Amino acid sequence: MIELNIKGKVGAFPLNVNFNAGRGITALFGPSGAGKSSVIRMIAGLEQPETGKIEVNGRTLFDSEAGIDLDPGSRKIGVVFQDAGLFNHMSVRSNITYGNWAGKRKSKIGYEQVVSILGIDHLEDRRPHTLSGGEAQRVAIGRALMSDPSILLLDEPFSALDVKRREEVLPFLEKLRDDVGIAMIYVSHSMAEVTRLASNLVVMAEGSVVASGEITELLASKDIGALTGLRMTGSLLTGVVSGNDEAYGLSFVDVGKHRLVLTGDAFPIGAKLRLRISPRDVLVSLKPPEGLSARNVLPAKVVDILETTAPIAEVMLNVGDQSIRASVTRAAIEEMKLKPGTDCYAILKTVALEGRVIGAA
Amino acid sequence: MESGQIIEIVALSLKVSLAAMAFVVPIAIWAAWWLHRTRIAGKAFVSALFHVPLVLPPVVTGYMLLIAFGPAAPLGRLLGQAGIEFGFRWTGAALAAGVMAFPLVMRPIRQAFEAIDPQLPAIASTLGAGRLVNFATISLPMALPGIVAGAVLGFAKALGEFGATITFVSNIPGETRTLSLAVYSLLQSPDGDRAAIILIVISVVISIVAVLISEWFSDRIIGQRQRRHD
Repeated sequence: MIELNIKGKVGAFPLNVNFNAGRGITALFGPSGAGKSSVIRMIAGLEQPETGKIEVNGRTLFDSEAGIDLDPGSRKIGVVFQDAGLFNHMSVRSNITYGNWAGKRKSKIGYEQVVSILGIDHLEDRRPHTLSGGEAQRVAIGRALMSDPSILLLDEPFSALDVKRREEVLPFLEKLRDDVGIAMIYVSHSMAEVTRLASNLVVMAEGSVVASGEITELLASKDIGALTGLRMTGSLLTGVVSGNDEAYGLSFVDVGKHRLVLTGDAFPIGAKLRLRISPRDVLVSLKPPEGLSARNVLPAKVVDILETTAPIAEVMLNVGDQSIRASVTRAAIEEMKLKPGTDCYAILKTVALEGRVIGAA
Repeated sequence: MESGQIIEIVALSLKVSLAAMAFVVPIAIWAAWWLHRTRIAGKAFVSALFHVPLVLPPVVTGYMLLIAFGPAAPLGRLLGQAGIEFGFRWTGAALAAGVMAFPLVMRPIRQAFEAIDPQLPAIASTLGAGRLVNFATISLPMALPGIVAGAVLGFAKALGEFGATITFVSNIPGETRTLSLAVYSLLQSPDGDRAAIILIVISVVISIVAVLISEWFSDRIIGQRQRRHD
């Protein structure tokens, strides 16, 4: 649990950041120059805020009023930067255990467990400069973990990797989140990564927090597109796996009272999934559709229509107690007389659903 | 000139230069680190002061050493009571050579410290490494190529030191007569040319080898820096 309320400077710009982050992964999202990295460096003690307070798990790391400013070595904050920053003059093993032999920290998780979760057990005798980008980042994460941190800060750890390598590394982070249960703050400007990993979202712009909260709720809010600078951000639905049909390669996921059909991997029954739905993959119908190949039709209610001058507008729909967005042409909105309160059906193309396990239900 | 004499001169020169490096390298590491880290206003002035032996006439440096560490000087007398004598001793030659070589030793070490990615000591500090451990496990080993380059260059400079040495500790055979002083003495005598040539060839070879070693280590620092910017 981290509580943060700081004022300071990023170059010449003022920084004024206030948020709380609990268990799981909290994503710090925003355009470059928003001050995300400075916040990370200030939590780690590598930069100083001018005023304010930083508390982690009830321990005060910085408090300008009380005159507290712990040095980085006493903060117990694990940091992983974009550039892995491995110590090239040591073996991979000495890198991972640096916090133990140089920092005199005793890790609660064993070395063997750390290297096996991160899949780096076969690298321990190598020299860091011989590692690939993804391997180096995993070693850097292992090194931070072994220093017994109370929280892990990841500052765009995978932005230097190409898409393929990133896909290789993300599952390790999910494993870390679910198996080790350490709280993480994850800086990213990739919404796809954020929606996949994070349970909380903090959106920053020009040195300030413009929105923060539970990620599904936040992405359902009307002005999230304007705040993040991303159009058609997509919505997240949470569901529980209720069955699999191996003959057709389908999984069934219950979202509230309604059942959705997913293709692809079978998931364990009872697993909690997060489904990301792009507004472009949502059709709106006033009547229950017939003779349609789409399997996923949810009764919905129009909550809001985002005003726009572009040909396509976003319609916000409530599905049970969750919400999704649909992109609909303004012409169609007028013709169908869609307005807040209109009952309708949201048709999702099966392929548009992408399931990710977010911890056991 | 007998081969025994030549060996004595070369051995004395090596002893003086090695002793000079033994005390100058640690001081140069400390000075380079201090210059690298400090944010005080007078930094440029202190840096210039460290470089003074490079531009000051060696005779002046030698005379200043005589004033400070000579047998008649208070500091020299104090050290003499502690058993460390410089006046007209090979230790004085080592002191003079060390002082003259100091700027050359410090420069590559400082460059090596500047070439280290500041993120690395920062990461080490978040992992719990205190100041001293951080320096010993990160900055010092990473600066090693620069330290070796500086030491080798300083060693070669110490071997060739002349002006400050002769002013401070005179030209005493077997005690302070190093390679350069021996060459000078031989060239003063009418039939010393041939013997001088042998010593000249020896010093040329030692110097070239030293510079080659130093260059090789400097390249490694530059290589490190380039990898960082890739």
